[in-house]
Amino acid sequence: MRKRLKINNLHAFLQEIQKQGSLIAPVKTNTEEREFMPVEKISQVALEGSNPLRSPKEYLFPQMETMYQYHIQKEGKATIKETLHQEPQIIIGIRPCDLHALSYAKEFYSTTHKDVYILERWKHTTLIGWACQTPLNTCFCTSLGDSPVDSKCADIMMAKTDQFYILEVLTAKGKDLVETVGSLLEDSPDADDDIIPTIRRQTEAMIREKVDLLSIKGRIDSAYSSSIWKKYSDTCIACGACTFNCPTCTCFDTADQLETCQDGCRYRTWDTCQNYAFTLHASGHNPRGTREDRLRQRVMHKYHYSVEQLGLFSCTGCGRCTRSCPVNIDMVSIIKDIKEVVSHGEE
Amino acid sequence: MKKQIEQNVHQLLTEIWKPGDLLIAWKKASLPGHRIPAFIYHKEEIQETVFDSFCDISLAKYLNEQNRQEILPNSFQGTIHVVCKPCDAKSVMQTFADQQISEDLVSLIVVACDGVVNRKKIENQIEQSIVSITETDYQMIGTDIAGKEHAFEKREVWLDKCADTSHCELPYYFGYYFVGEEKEHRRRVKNLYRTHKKLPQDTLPPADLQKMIHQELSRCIRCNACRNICPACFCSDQCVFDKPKEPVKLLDNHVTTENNILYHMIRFHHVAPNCTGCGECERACPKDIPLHIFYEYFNRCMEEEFGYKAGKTNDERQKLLSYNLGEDLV
Repeated sequence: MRKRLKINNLHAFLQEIQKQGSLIAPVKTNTEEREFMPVEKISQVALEGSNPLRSPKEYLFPQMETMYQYHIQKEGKATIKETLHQEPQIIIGIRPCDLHALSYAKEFYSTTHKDVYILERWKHTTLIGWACQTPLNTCFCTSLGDSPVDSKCADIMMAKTDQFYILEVLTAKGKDLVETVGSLLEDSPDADDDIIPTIRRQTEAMIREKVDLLSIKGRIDSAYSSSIWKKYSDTCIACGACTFNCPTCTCFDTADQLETCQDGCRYRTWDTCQNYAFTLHASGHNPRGTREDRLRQRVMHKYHYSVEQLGLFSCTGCGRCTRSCPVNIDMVSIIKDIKEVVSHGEE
Repeated sequence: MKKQIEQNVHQLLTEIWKPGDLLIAWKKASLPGHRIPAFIYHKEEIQETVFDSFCDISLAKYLNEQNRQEILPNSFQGTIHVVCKPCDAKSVMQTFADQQISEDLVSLIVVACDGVVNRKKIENQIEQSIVSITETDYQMIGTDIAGKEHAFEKREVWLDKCADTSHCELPYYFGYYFVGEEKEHRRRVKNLYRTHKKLPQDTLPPADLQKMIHQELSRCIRCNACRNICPACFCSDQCVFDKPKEPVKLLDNHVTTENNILYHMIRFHHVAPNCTGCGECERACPKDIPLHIFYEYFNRCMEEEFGYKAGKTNDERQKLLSYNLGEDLV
């Protein structure tokens, strides 16, 4: 099903869907940057522009969340109260790279272990995608076989033209949402068929470089003992800005917070493989003691280990790691080197 | 001007180069306006290094003990040549003073610099991807994806610290090579010096200041970029924030505004005696938190209380770690 929305009606459209749940959209902050945030004033919403540095991942997998609260009784028994988030939320303006990342995260959290906290949030979330027309010079989604208009796990896919938005309704959840705003939308004629392919062509032409990684998918482990890692780990300062801004990084650490001797809660926070303590054993041995090991782990996980595990790349080409790196390490030059080593071997 | 300096640096290096040496300098990366640290072991590769207005990364960080362990090959016996802007040279001085590296190992090359570009400022103004960027004497010219050119006055897109030439003062140290017009540089530093910049601490009432700090630090994601890029931070794996063997952590991973404030307050108090005000933490922050409001304030306090400025010389003892007989107790 496809619908049209007049440009002038966007404000009313957002107002209507805000009634269905908390609305999260790219919002212009006072530091002149756009960030995914719960919308307070509709006028602040800025759907157009480059992709925000923080991905919408944090609304499904927050940096810090309480998993459950516990109370230990006198007989030594404990009662546990889980904290599940079931409030409906609508996230709008998600680029195809982030949609890909969210679909990877969903796959990961429902295959390796059933993560109730995330899956419960997912059930109550409606995702509205946004066909990308403004790639940055760090973007490389085409290298991973994606396109700037993929709709992956979106419920509704939105695209902008000069006079109107088109809304491609893809799931039952999306259909329910569209029905509540029915009066604002009109049917889309067949002439709209080539809007999305045109956007795709235009955007792909703007992406700086394509390093075809699909052709070496599954063979990347042969770069494991290559010398390319040292080249990048020399400059790496092992901070973790890349992993904390990455939309597909899924690692977390759990800890307890005690309020009294009997009451407390268990919470979890994001963790990063770039940290020395991440793999440190109690014995003092650290299997990933050097920065080279840790940088290689991050890159190999994105391009190989996740392929072994789930059959998917866990990099979506959004370029956030390059954007946030304090020492300008460029992911595209890393994957170029990987491809060189895998297809031609080391010189 | 910088082109000439770049050539002079190349010339100087070819003269002083001995086989087995290491050069730490900047080189071009594939993205426009990106310069990355280069580690060069061969004389022929000296020509690859660059020096221009995009060389914002401080290379002083790579001299400390932990970084040397990661970078240097086991058999390394040569000299480390490091190219520094005057602001980074102070960090090198502090690295010497903190005994992170022996002075005999380093040959320091300080280059005259009139400012480096803050790439984020350009990107925010263009709001589009830049395909290429070039510099002329007074301007930066960026070309966006549609082929349109945007020109900026260099002054408008400098890093904030470059507006205050007290950062460009040369250290009291005789063991460095200076490339550029030294007299001209000293004159510029003296004439443009703008001290006592107004910080929020001076202008805002305490309640507003507290509110502002809360607002800014609530955005912190604790990625540790500020800590890891800091040339004054060298506790490496024994840092209080992730000391693995400690039974009780000083600060837990709970990312709340209160904990973020605690994190930054511990960090800035801890580095206050070694902080040279190089501004790397602010540059590295992916969330653009204005960290200068903390370190500049602490630096000013250090100067007022103890008459001490980190990074001035290579052998001054840290004021918070030393005590002289007969000295007043604070």
